[in-house]
Amino acid sequence: MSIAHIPCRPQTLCLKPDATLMEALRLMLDEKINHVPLCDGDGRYCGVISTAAILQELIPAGARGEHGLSDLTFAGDATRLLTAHLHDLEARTVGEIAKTATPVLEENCPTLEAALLLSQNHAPLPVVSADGILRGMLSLRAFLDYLLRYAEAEHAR
Amino acid sequence: MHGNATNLSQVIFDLSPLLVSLVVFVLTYALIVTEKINRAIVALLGAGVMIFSGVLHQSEAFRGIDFNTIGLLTGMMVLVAITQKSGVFQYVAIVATKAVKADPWGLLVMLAVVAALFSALLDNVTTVLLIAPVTLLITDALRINPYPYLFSLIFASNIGGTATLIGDPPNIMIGSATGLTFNDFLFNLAPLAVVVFLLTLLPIYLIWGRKLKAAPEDRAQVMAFDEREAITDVRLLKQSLSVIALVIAGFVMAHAIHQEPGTIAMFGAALLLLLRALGKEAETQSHETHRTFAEVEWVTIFFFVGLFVVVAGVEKAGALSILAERIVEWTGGDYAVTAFAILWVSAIASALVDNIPFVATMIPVIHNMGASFGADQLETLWWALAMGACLGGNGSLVGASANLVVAGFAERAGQPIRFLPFMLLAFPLMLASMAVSSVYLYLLYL
Repeated sequence: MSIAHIPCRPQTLCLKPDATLMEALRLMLDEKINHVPLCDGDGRYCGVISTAAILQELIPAGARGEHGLSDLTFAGDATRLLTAHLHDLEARTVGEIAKTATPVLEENCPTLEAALLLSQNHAPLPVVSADGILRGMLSLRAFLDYLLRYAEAEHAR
Repeated sequence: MHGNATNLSQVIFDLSPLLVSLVVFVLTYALIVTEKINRAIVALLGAGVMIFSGVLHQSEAFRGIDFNTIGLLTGMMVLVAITQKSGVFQYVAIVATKAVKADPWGLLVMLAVVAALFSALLDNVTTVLLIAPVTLLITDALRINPYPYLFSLIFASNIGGTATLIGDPPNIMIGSATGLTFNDFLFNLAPLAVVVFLLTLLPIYLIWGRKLKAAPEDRAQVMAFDEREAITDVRLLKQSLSVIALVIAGFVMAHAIHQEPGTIAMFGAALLLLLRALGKEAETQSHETHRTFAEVEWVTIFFFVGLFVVVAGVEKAGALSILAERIVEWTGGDYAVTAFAILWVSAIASALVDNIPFVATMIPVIHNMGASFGADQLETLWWALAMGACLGGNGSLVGASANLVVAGFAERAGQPIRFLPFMLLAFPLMLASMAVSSVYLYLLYL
């Protein structure tokens, strides 16, 4: 059995790589989602942007990355340090920080393999056709919901 | 065994050991310079070829490795890996910032002083890894350009590292190879480091310092930083500072107690590991010790191991004694000219390529000059090498590993340090520091 029967979030919710980070943030807040896929002009998948990636851009540079400060308690309630970088989101594109190493699920990916990848990534994964066209995003919730319904149907039989 | 080894290269390659060793040496250094393959891999491969080709026997290769340098580097890396978890470095940086009331120019000077002092006692890469993040946080809060601060951080770390035996790898190698003590380095190089540091601040002030301004509300925000909150583990802090103080006291008294710095640093590392492990369950001890050892920069350690063997190969084949003779010939056998030549060539070479392989090669070359000048007359040449190799690292972005680490932080802050613009200012500043070093060398030693 493959994931072809599992409903995924439609591909209409996607951004071009030249969209700004602010556009991505507003879209995700409006749609109450944490991940948006990126597609080129032909609809080919080319990465994913997340609310976590945008929040990382708001954190002071000294605390980012492997060797950044791991504890900012000493800075107190410095909310302004976070909001100060909000305007930078208008000037930067999602293509600059999009995650491109996220695993991609092919439309006919077996459910067991999809379960493994979803559990390892803790995030929705893009579903693409054989020629790389984005079909949608498969969330953990949609996947588990499908599994539950499938098991109940089996049980009823 | 020895003779058999030499014969191998003659039988298999039908070449003289001198030629084989030179080819291996040049290829190894060329590959290191291109940075296409990790430098530790290149050095270890070069070392392997030196042995397989018969230039060196394995036992000679092992004798070529300076385990005092390896012990000193590894011991200090372990000490720093544990100490940094206490938050003491952020604490000092915040205290320094508040001491100048977060005034932008005062902040630049204070952070540079802190970086120079830490660099004198720790390795430069560690220093900038600890100071750069807090520098970026403070400049972010003050809404000022971090570039001048990061530029000063690079210079301060390289200048501070010049001041002591343990401040910079070239000094560690020179000290280990010559028997010059911690105090010798401190008394001979620290005064120069202070002068160069102060003189370097002048152009930085003229270029950036005068224009640095911060809004009162932003300064107030930085003044509200609580340095006590930066200390994450008071017990660890006390243990770390006590052991580091003991280790530094050990370096100062090393000559009197007849111990090498490598032993002192490794013993200090073992002591701090023990203090940290006391009272913890076996599993926790094992986990923490494993994590601490994982933070040792093994790439650097293995790079040193490989280089020592490669240099031992060319040394044994006689190439370095020939080079030493040629240098003395070129300088007309004049001691002062030789010292200045070593100073300036070391500086320019260290600005353009990694100073570690350069110094590893120059040490036996200078030892061989003992034949011309007398083995007990080489001290000035060692100081010239130390000054040139350490301060030369300021000349370009690739001149020292610490420079590249700071450049990585600058990139993250959206203020990338580009190779050419950096060099346009840094190289003349480095040359100025060499001019000061020349005067210092002339007045004190020649």
